[in-house]
Amino acid sequence: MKVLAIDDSRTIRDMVRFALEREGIDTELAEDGQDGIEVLDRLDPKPDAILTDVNMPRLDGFGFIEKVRERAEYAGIPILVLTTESARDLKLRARAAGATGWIVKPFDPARLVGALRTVTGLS
Amino acid sequence: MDPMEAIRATFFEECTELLETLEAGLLALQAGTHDTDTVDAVFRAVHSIKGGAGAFDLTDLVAFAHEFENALDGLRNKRLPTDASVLAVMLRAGDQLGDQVTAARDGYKLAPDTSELKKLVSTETPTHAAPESLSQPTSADATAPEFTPITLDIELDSDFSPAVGTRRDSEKKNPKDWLINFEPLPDLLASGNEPLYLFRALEVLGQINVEAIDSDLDLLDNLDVAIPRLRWKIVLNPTAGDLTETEIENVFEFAVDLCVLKIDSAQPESAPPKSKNDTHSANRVPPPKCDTEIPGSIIDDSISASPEVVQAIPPNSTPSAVSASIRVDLSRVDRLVNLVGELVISQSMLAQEVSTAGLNKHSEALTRLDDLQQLTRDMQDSVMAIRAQPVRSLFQRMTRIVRETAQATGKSVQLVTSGEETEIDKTVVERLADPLTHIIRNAIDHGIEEATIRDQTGKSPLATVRLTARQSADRVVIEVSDDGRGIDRPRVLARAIERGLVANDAVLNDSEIDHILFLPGFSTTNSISKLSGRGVGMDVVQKSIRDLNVTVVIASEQNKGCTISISLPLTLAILDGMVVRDGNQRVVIPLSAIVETQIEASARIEALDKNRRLALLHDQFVPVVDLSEGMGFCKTSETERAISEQDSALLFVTSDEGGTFALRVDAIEAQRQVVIKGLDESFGRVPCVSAATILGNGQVALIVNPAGIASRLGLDRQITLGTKFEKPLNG
Repeated sequence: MKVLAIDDSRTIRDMVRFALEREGIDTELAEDGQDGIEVLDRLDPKPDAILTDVNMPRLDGFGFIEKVRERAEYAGIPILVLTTESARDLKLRARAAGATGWIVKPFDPARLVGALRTVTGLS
Repeated sequence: MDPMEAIRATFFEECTELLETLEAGLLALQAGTHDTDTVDAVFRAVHSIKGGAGAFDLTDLVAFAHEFENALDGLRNKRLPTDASVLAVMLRAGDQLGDQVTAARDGYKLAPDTSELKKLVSTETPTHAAPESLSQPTSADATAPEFTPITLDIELDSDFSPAVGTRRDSEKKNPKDWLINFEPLPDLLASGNEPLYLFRALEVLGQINVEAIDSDLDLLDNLDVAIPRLRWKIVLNPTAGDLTETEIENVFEFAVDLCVLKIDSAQPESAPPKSKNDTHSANRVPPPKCDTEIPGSIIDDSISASPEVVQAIPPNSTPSAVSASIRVDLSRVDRLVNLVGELVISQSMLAQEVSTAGLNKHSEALTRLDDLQQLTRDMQDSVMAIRAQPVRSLFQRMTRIVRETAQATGKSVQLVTSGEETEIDKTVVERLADPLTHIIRNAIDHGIEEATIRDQTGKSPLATVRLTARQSADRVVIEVSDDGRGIDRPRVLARAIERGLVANDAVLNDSEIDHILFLPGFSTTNSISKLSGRGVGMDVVQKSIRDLNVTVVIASEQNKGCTISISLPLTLAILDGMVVRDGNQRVVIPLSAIVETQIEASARIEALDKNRRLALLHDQFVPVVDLSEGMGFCKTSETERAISEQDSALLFVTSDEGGTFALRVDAIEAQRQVVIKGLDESFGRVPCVSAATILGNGQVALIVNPAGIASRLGLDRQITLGTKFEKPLNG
């Protein structure tokens, strides 16, 4: 499985990478939504799932999800939002933008991996 | 290193950057900037610290960052005004956040004090204004219509994955089947959900029987692959008897509002707690007859819940200048710096070889060599530029010092900075933090008068400390000036005499008295001692930057204020030096320390006695020191000395501590740029040697620290004590 993880915090990026790679999941990183789009366009093969933070400079998580969903070729990639936020209106926005799911930070690595496995159907 | 330890280190490194961003943002707001980008950046900085801290279970840090974030959210949503008093609280909170980060990093406990922030939040004015400029209202929007609760929340403490779900062993009933009706809404596939995967996840819970209902299928021509047309009926025969509805729901948690989901126990009499689940189901599952309307209504709700918000942040609403930068490990840059250093050395060796090869002056080889020299120099500059860093972050740190010192002394002081974009070597920037802190504390504590006195002398009650940086030629000058009372020279002198630092009968000029401040052991500690005078004086300033090849100058004017200028080399890697020889030793003297050179034969030298000589520099006699004596090496033979005498020269060098003195050398060999090679830790520290270099001929040469020679021979004491050397024979 290959996952693109987007977060403006280096700490979180490192943690996600550590949590995922330990489970044998290839992890690509991006620093904000804009970077995420660029990395996504560059990646080949495309990731099986995307994890994104919400609150980021340049292009935030919502904007990122909208941009991804505008592109037919990316429509089927599950996008999980990984954030400290848990307000309902934010979740609704994420959903409206096309997010697949929402995971609250700090995350339990097992749950994160479990969520990725569920949405991708990959082990 | 343990990967988690490495990530932890990254976190604290990142915190430092975030704290800088935070402070810069808050200061920009204080200075009158009101754009949302700044507020967002400030919010994000605290938010990121909180996020990372949560990951490491740093509860105090999380708790404080959380309150801080709350208050900043008020700022962001205009529930709090961006006025001076609010920003003052924010700035103090920023300081405390920094302290909490330090405490977390160093593993000690610091009880977070959130009272001020909480008080601030309690003053927030509830606002119903459309949040047109706000990126994310986190509180419930009062204007949002009521809509059916949608269980998007993932309970933190509930197990997410069915696979890791815990089972209670106490209930060992016969497994009963569950009936699951799963009807995808049009958006399901477009949101990255795939029914097949959901079924696989269900399979983990038990045996499943899936039936597809294809009654909604249209003609092939009308089918859109992106829109699900099948409905599903699943019978789940759980492996565990006590499987709850929640566990099944968890499988659909990401799809829950993208489908109509109905979960029923096949045996109603033993169904799990009914009432609660019914409410859930009733909320989510519409009456069968209204199927077609429901998708629309749910989607509408979610859209209408946040239309203005969505417009508020178009995806590219923050086209703020993106600096194209990459993060490079410092050790890689250092390696590059070293390599270029080697290149410079090998290029100068080549030049030396070529010059002795007897080539024609206009030969092609020499022209090419010149080109190479130029390129090498350009390359060196470029590499140095990589290490250069604006002093901005350093200056920012000082705002806190000013704030704290002003608060502790009860004085009102503003810090005015300029030249923040001036760049100096990263190492220098770091090493300047302590000295600057000290100078600024001193300026506020000792230099700036009490408000009443300022009032009497007609000064503004708001004192000003100016921190400026500017580049002049190959040096950077950093200045701290205050508009206080200036140095109280009679008091300084009295104190220095009292402490035995200066002789009773010493006659010192103003500048000499001012420099007493830098003497070890001098401290006018009879005022607030916990700040500037905590047992250490300004000598710390000297000490911490001594080997940076700096000069410090104090200029003070009674009742006008005091200015301390620190002049630093642009880089710590290259030095303009004079290669000199004494005996059989070749050393490099930093050009910046040399004020004048004279041929010994034509210099005016007076002998005080057998061992002490003075040389005339302009209208002043200064001590003459043999380089070999100053550095403590012996000349091999008298004959060598005799031979070299014809070339011998005096280098008048000046150091802040030792004043000016003349270094006598056997010969001046060359003036050139040398690459500074730091001396390994394993070498003992010798005060008169600051580093080493490799000369064009491959020979290693030490770089001399004139101030070290002065202190080694006690010149500094002699001068400040006002003995013969201090005011030698005039004329």
